[in-house]
Amino acid sequence: MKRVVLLLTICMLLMISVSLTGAQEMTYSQAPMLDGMDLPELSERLPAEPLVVEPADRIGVYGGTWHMGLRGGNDGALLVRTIGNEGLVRWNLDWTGVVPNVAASYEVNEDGTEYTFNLREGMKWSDGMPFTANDIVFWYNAHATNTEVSPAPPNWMVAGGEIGTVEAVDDYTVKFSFAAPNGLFLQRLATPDGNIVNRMPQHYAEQFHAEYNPDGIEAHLEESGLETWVDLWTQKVSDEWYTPKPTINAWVLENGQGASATQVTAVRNPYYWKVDPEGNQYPYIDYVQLDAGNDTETLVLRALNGEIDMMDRHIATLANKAVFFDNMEAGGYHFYETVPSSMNGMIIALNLTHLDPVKREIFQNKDFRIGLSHAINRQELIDLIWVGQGQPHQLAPRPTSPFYNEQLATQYTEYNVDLANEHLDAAGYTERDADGYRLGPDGNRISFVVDIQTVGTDQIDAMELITGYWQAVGIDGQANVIDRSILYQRKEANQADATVWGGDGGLDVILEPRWYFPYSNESNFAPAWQYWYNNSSDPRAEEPNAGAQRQMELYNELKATADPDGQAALMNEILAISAEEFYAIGITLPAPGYGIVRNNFFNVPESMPGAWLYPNPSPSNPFQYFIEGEA
Amino acid sequence: MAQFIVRRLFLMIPTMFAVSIVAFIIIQLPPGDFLSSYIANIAASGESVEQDVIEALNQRFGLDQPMHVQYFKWISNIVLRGDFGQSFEFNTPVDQLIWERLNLTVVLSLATLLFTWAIAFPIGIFSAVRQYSLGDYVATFFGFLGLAIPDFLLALVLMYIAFKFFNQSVGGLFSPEYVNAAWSVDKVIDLISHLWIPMIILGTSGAASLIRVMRANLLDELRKPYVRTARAKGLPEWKVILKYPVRVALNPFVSTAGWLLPGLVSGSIIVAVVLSLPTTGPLLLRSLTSQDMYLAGSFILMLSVLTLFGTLISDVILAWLDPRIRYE
Repeated sequence: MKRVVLLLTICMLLMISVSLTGAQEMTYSQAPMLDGMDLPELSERLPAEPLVVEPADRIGVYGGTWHMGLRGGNDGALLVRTIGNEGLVRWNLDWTGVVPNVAASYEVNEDGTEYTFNLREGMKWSDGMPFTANDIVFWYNAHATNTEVSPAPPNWMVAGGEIGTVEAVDDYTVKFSFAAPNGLFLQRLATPDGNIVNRMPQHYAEQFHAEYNPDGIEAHLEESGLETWVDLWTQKVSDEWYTPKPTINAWVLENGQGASATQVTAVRNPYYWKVDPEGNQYPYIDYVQLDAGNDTETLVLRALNGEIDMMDRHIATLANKAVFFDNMEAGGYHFYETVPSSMNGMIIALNLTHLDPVKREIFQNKDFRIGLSHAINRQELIDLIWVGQGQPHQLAPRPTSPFYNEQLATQYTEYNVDLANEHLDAAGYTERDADGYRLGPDGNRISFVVDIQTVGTDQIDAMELITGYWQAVGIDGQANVIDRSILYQRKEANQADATVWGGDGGLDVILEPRWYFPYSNESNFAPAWQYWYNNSSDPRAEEPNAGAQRQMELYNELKATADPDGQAALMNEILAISAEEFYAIGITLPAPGYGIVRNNFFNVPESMPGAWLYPNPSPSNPFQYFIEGEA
Repeated sequence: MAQFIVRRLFLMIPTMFAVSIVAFIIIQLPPGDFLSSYIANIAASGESVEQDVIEALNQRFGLDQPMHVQYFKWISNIVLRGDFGQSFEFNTPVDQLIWERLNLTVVLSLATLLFTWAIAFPIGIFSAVRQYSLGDYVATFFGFLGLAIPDFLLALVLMYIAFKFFNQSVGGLFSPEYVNAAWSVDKVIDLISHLWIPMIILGTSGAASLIRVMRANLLDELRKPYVRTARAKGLPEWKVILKYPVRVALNPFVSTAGWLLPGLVSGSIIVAVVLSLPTTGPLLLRSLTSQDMYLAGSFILMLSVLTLFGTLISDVILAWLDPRIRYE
């Protein structure tokens, strides 16, 4: 970890020095499509110190359109991942830390309670108006702390139980201060949640705010047909992809998304504030065009047909890989790799806080869970259902993560029926009924249902085999295939015996620890405990066991730690307790995913992490992708 | 006649109210609400929403209120102000959403209807008049094929053929360059060049069943004594057939013509999804699966209004077409 930090510091210093020297010597040039447009000189449009970004492979050429497919007319997540997400800081490519982005540099005080960002002098919105610290303060006043718009403040702005403050020190310096250390603040700013601070151009947005424009708001409401000003604010300002508006993104929306959108288009931002090492203003590509398809299969066909230039979302599933592979030549594309942040294709989480005391006693018995785990033939599942792609894995960080913990990842994954029976006997359930099923402490057969969502077809197939494996050791566990929203409702009401879900948090271990301790409502193994952690006055909350409580304390300590090394040490301690507790049963480590990219589409890295918190491909800098020649 | 229409119109009001209540209850019946399915959908694609955002949405949508409060808020806005409420998912007034898609939907449905009739009537009449001829067998064969193949499957197969052999862009009603363009002659031509695929797919099963119905009805009529009398009196053959038996055989079409109106809006949902058509069907489906209450409710309300009016219209036409039918 120390090495990483050192590397990061060197990188940052390098970047700053590059941009400093660049500012003095560099002459800038722009895309041909901007020539002849009625725009100020390029040097006036760029900030005094534009961000200089090395292209992934080589300096590109200007022009072209990047085609993608949008599912439904409404897929903001795809847009954030590809043409959005300009945070104050951003992830570096290999996801080991954050680097400056909108902020030219930043300082953090010793205890992590004050973060000062130095913005770029002369940086502008896409309409030419200056982007200053006041715009960020406007976000804080008009959006984040306005209780009509945000009944609760964003949780990454909260430390020590209260929301931090934001002030503009001068036009180009903005300071975030917190009542207590906010150790994960920079990382959270780099996720898709954090870019909202740079999305509220005051000169445009204030007309849609009841407090800033009390007299004019009625006219806007009438025109839009909306009921309240909050709806208006959402549509015009806080929803990034509905209404075209001034932005600092590389491309500016021409046609936004919505129910009737059949095509979303964006065009280069003439005021974009990043350049390549030769002073060419980014982005290289002129237009971005996303055609909506109601159905994923339509998008797949289009991709096969070579009508999609670069994309992985929706279409690049394991099931489609063979089809894409076969059509590679005809479609004129090749693959790039995405390393999923997911660490498990299937997690079976018994409900340790079940409302029924008998089931609770059985599920909380660690030997019982170990027995169930040993009874599963993971290799067979992987071969049959995941076409051989994967390896046996519990709920643990991925092997490439610095937090990889071998014990946590591999314990109890061995397929061994005798060992399984031994553990189940040791759990105390030695009596069996006439059908050979084990009896629980109340003398009834141990029987439970496992909720699986209807769309998780591979998990449904796998569960059928697992039911058989468990039968062989005298346990009656049946699949209950239900709609996703019903699954969520049962989970929320703490009514599920057990659930199946995928395993997030394999690379984003610190930011997404849901499977390592009862952290959020996605910690399916202990709903009542996570309620206790998040809001102990919740009527559904229950005091967790000692191990989980210790983990919660450690995580709170981690959030209040500014130093990355300290955070890592605490996280490792949390993971060690996870290994001891063995909360839920994992099956397989997902193999790397893929995306497709046309053969005339360049500067896409061969491999990148794939996650929501690392909203791929955005950290690989889509503005430096370029198109040259025919595919 | 006028009295008949007025009475029918009057009876529609209580029917509408009953329908609106049932529709609202049915939409609310599945467990969860818009918010829970929204969160579940987001989680399923590996993304997440912050707790503060969820709270903000819950408060804005008023989803925590009891069902009858939500119903009265919705229905009174419709009756008093013609305001159908707002779509949760798209944050846009419902009527805007529906209107935006209605035009193309009507164009597509009418084109399909004309296609269906243009094929079904001549073939139906032909296979009845020339019963058990070679032509009748061929028509019957394709008729059964058309009935048996689900239209979404036909859509998938046609799309695959278009991709595999013609290297053609699939889905949608426009080429990419015209999607957001203003209306022009070129755009209309582009629309027509895309319209025929869904038109054929949607028309096939309808045409097939119409052929069968037409054939059966006409066969019944052709054997009646009045036809023989007409022939005996020396009327030309085309007049014998078209003037009387065909007119009687049309009755079943006319009485089902009332269903065409709601079909304009809700018909062919699956095909529209498969072909990515910008029509109302996919929007209705999506609003139901995401439990976008007001959007789905307004759709269903609209569909029932159209059904009621369609039934009225077909009754009126039927009475006009067949003097034997009385208004009692």
